[in-house]
Amino acid sequence: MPKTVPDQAPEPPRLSWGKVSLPDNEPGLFSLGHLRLWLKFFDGDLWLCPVQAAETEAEIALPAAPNWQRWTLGKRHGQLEIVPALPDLPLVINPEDPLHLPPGIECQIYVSIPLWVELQIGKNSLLRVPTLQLSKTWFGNFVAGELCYALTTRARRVAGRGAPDPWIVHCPITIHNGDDENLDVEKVRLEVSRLSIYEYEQARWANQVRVHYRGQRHFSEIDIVNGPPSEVSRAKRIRKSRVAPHRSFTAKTFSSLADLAGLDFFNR
Amino acid sequence: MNWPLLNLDMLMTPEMTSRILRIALLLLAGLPLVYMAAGWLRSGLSKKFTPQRAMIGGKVVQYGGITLIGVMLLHEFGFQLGALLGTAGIVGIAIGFASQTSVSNIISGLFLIAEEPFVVGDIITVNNLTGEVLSIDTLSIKLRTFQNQFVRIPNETILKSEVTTVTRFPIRRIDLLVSVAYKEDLERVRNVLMEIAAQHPLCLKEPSPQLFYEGFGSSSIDIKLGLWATREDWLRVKTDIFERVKKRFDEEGIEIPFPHVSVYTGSVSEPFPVKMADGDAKG
Repeated sequence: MPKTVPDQAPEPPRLSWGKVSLPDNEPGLFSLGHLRLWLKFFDGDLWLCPVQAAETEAEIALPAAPNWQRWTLGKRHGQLEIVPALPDLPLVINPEDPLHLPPGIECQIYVSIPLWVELQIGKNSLLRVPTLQLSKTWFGNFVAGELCYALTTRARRVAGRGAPDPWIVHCPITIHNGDDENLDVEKVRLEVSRLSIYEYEQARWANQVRVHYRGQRHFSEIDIVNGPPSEVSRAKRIRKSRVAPHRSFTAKTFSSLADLAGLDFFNR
Repeated sequence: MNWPLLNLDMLMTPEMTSRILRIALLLLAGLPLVYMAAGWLRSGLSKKFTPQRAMIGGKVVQYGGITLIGVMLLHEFGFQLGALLGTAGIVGIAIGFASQTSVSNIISGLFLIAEEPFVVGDIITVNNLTGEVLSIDTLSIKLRTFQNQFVRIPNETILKSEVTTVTRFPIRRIDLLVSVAYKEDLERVRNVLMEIAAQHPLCLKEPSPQLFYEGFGSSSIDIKLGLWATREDWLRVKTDIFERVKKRFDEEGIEIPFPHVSVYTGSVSEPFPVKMADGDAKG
């Protein structure tokens, strides 16, 4: 467990988004959400040590035996940049209280996605770490599927009120039930690699996602709306999507609980 | 000395010219065509099937084409194919009897490739031997065990044995047997174990961890905790969870009992009577 900073400990240089500039052999700290990312340059090498704090406000000292990752950057030393990113795996969004949509009904929910922090040199990524460590989950059945992060959300119907959390990206998702049966929204898979990040008045947003559900046996049709969401139409794009956002694509989006029923547990 | 003159006019009859042209065509165009067709098929199949199946498809076309060209060439040279095939059949039977085991292994290998119970890179268990499949060859498969030993298993043995492909599916369950003392509150134990599972980032949230009671043991209540992880993380999660359970149980004061025997004298609830002997105790 990382130790709390003692009173007499000198305050480390604080780093923020953009180019990294630090004196040699003096560790700097980038702090966001639960992430405390320590960086230092020593003899021309870059040393990195990401630590996850239990609380967002907790001050974390550099661990006594830091688990440094060492990078040799050569002449690209000065190009090091800290940029915001989205998770490196798709998300399985699990509303705290499941939504139920009758046929033909459409609703919009807002999902809060924890930001990731990426260290880049030009287009090369050195490290991508979360501001909140999410558990992994499986989307599919026992034979085939996809590894995702599990994200429990309140699935608010109104955009976040109050001061924006700097480590959260708001993503508006519109779900339309195009089937002739009720849709139980218990788990929604969200392909975040197709989303860009936008900034408006210190709040971060992702593209609006429209999901058209066509029944359990069919893939859902998914639209990624180009540009910032309508709520923040003047927002500025600060990070382009990792995968080119096709206007429309199909994917399995809503999981069937029957696929992963615990019955298999007894088959020893 | 008078050398016999070679009469080219006699040799270059229209029939002979056409035969030479056919042979040249078979050799110069037929063979490259067969190799090209095999290559195309291999690359085409590899997009939809495994590399092994693509390789087999390519080989079938390649060997089939070469055999066909060979037969056509022999025909052009004037060999009687019927007699030749008859001789080949007799020779084949003789060789077959002499190499039954090899032939059996070759045929078993074809079945293994067609059925595909595992592919190169999979981890399999055969007859209590576990290792990574290095290759699936004509006569045998080659394994690398975790002790880094090289093991060759004949294809026939594989076909006759029960084979477990450990890495076939992308997720695996970890079964952890936990024993707690009879005095423990089982609901509390359940909550602690579920919390340990939920706090491990590599332990999958879905399929959800499950817990059930194995039975009342001689010294403990035995619990089985089932957790899921990807096949890549399986060993790490298993090791981590084991350590975390022990640490957390120590913190929570949950007893993991060792086998013990209760001795009592006639009554279930009465303690074993201990008497202090009067006088000097020696020894």
